[in-house]
Amino acid sequence: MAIHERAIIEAVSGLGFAGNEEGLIPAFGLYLTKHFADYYNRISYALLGDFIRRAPELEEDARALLIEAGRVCSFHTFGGIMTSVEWDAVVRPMIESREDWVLGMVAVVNALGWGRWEVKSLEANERLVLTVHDSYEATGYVRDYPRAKEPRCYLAAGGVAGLMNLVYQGDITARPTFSEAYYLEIFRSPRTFAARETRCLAMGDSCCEIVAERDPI
Amino acid sequence: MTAAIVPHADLDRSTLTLGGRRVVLHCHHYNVFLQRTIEDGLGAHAPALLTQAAMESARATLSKLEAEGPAGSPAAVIARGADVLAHHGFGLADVSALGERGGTATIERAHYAVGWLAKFGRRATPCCFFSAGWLAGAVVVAGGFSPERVVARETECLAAGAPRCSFLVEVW
Ligand SMILES: [Zn+2]
Ligand SMILES: [Zn+2]
Repeated sequence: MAIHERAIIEAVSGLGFAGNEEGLIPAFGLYLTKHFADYYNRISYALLGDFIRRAPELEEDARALLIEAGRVCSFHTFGGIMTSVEWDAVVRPMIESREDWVLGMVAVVNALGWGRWEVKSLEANERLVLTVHDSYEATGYVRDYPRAKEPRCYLAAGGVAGLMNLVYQGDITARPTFSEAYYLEIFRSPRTFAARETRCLAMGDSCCEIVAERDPI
Repeated sequence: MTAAIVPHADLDRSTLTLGGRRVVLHCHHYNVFLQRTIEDGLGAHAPALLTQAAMESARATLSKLEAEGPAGSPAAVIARGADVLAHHGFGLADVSALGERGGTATIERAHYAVGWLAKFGRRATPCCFFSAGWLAGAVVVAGGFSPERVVARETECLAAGAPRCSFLVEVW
C-alpha cells in the first residue's frame, strides 16, 4: 500500500484536538495549541522589520533565527508525531520505504492548517522539492505587508529541512529520543539538510516552493 | 462549549479558520522557542509586541464571532474569549473577576508557562504575554473599546515560580 494522503488527513483531523479539563492539548508527547497565524506572523515579521531597520544586512540574521525556530519545531513536532501510537495506527501500515516516511509526514502536515504541502520530487537521501499552497506565513504577509523581495515562509523552510534531517540524517525509523544532543547531532552535522524557498507567494509567485538539499546554503 | 469556537477545517486546502482568521496547530517547543527568539532579539520591546499581537488576534477573532452570533452580554463575550483559550490549548482561565471595566483573571496551567518550564525550566519574569494580550482583547470586544484603552499584564507566572498565572486587566 502506498501513502494514502486523504485517509491520513481525515484520520488526523478526526482526532479533534481540543483542550482537556486543564485547557491543554497533550498529544504526541507535546503540548499542542490551535494557535492564531496572525500572531506568529506579527511577531515574526516585527522581528524581521526591527533587524532591517537597525541595519539592512541584519535581514539575514533574522531569517536564520526564524528558520531555526522552524527546525526546532519540526524536530519535536514531526519527531513526536512519527514516533506516536497514532502514527503507528494510521500511517505506519501504509509505509513501504523510507521515502514513505517523508510522504506520510507531509500528509499529516496537511491536517495542521498550515496550507497544502505537496511533494514535487524526492530523491532518496539527497533532495526534496515541495510546494506550499495557502502558506499561512505568506498569506498573512501578503495581506499586511508590501511585496517582498525575499521569501517569507521561515517556519515552512525550517520544517522541510527538519523533516529531511529526521528521515535521512538521523534515523526516525529507529524511534530516537528527541534530546538536545540528538538535535545537535543531526542539525549541526556538515551533511545536514538545509532548505531554501525558491518561490514565495509573498514575492508575487503563485505558490511557495521549498528545496531541501544536503549542501548548507 | 459552542460550535462557534471550533475552527472550520477545509480538508482540500489544508486550512483551519476561526472568525475568518487562519488557525494553525503548533506545539510548545515552537511556541516557547519562537517567543525566546523574539525576547532575545527585541529585548525591552518584546513584551509589548507579544502582548499587542495577542490582543489583536483576540480582537479580530472575537469581534468576528460577535458579528456572526452575539454572545449576549459583556460577561458572555469575555467567557467566550476564555472558552477559545481553553479549547485551543492555552489553559483554562478563571475570568469570574474580569469584566468590561477590567479586573483580574487566573490560569492554573497556562500553555506558555507549562511549555516554558518543560523546555527551558524556570525563568525570572512572567512569560504568558499571549494570555495577557488575549484577555485584554476580550475586554476590548466586550466593552466596545478602542484597543489602546485596555492594558493587561501578567502579575505572577507559574514559569517564574508562582502557584499559577495571574493577570491584571485595566481599562483607562
Ligand atoms: Zn512562501
Ligand atoms: Zn504565566
